[in-house]
Amino acid sequence: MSAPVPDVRSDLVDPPREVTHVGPGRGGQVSAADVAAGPTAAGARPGLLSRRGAVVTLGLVVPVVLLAAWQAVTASGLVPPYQLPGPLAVWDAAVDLVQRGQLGTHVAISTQRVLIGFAIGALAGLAVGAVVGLSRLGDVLLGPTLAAIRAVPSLAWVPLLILWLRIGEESKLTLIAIGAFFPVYTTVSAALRHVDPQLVEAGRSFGFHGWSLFRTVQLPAVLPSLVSGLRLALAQAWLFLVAAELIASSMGLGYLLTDSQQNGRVDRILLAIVLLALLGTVTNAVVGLVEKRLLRRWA
Amino acid sequence: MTSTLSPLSTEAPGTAARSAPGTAHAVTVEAVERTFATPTGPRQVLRGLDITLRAGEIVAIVGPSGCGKSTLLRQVSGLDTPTSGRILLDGTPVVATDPRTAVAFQEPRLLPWRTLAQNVALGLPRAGAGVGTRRQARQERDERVAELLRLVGLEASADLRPRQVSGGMAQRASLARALARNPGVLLLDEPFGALDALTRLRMQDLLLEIHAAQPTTVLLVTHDVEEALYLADRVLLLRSLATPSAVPGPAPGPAGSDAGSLARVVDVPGARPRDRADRQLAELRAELLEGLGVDTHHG
Repeated sequence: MSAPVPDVRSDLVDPPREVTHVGPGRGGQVSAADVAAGPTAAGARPGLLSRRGAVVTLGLVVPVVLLAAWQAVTASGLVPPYQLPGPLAVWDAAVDLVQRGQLGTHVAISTQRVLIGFAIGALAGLAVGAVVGLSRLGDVLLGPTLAAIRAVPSLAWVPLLILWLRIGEESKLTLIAIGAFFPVYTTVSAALRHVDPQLVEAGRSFGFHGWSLFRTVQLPAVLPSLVSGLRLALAQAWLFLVAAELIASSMGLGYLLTDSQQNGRVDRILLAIVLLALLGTVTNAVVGLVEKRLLRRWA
Repeated sequence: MTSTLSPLSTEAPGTAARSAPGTAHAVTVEAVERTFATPTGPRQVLRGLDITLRAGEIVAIVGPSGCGKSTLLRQVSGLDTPTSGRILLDGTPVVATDPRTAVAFQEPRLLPWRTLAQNVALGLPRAGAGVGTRRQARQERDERVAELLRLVGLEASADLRPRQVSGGMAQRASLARALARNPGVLLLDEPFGALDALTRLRMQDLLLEIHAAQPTTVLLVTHDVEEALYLADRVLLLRSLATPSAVPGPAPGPAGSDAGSLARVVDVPGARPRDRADRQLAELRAELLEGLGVDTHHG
């Protein structure tokens, strides 16, 4: 029944599934009895953009061009070094900080803060999102308050957190957790409200209720939303990290930024920015891998 | 498709704790009323309903839309509760999502992220399963799921997801999931209504095979008078309590607005499997359709 499909995607790590439409409920309302044939991948055009190597190479084109332009304007003296040091100067700054044993500390402490704050915020977001999304009472009680708290800009929390929690790790982790909380809370609570009621009723009819119903039907149904919420939360965590470290810290990339600003070390400022960009990209890629694994069954 | 039907009641040892698997229950519906609150005021859908189902009997319910057929079915399963009156299974009242019952809905309602086998496993009784080790219990469950999939002819599709199979296959999986509960009363809510005509006829025969292998009590809601006459020992015709102008269907009848929901009971003659073209059934069909307010142009 299924015609042989040219296997143009065999070089992908995780080839996309054939059937692309995803929708909760109504499972199996496919009209024809075409087992596993399904519509073959609509976007499966053989070509450059379906090769992983080519995708990575093309993705590097713009950064390389930017790097070259940066080198060109600094080497030609178009921009003075006290405003924009060249890439090599930034590299030297990195080597210098590594030799002093400081760079590793800055990166490690910032990453640790992001991961811990993200974990706390995401878990709390999932829990509160579940309460608000599943219970009408929870929604009515907590919804307006959370909406108001969400409206507060991140920096507004800083003075209060420092007052309450001192300039230790707690105040920074709390701020990052606040940042990670809201994307997860918002996506999860909204998605739980729209879980197919027919599936929920079917689950109930087989004796699932409360926690077992959540674990068996509702949580898997909102997993795709949860994962996209986690991605947003991670980005927010990095954002709030810098906010926390800019203001009160003695370590971390945010501290490196302010400290370098005060000392006029533009090379180190650029270094911190580049490192933040790299770290954010790496953690986002890790979440992307987790997402692929988790959503394999939804694809 | 299932020539070798093993009786489902031959259970592995260690499962005796369950309420005697495969035992059909008698159903008693006593003076059941159900009124729903609607924006336009209360609406009564069931009134003065007294029905008794013998253990192992197949009973079909037909009636116009909105006559409370599905409501009655949901009440027997414990998904809904009567406003007054009560429902007993073998003399004891129905509890919420009663484990002695299982429902198959008009839509398959399979969880899209689970395979057909995993969906069938959802129906397996969970509480107090077996005395053996975890591994033994797991193996028993796997065997039971495989047995059920064989029964409905899906053994080759066990690892497919609902989206990958036809509507008929999904509905068979839904039926297997209901049977996994070892129900004493199997409740079918227009289970074949969304299927194409040929698949529907095959599913009707499959249901009879299953009933022969596991003689549980079956309560079947259907729009299809022929289906009711082909499958059931008795057909119950419900009347709509709404004003005749609001809902198309039979007039409230000679008894006026005080009449109960049950319009008439038809005993279907002949042993199953029946000849679909039987003359006697054709007479009954005309009678029932007339009861539903359809002109049959029958001589």
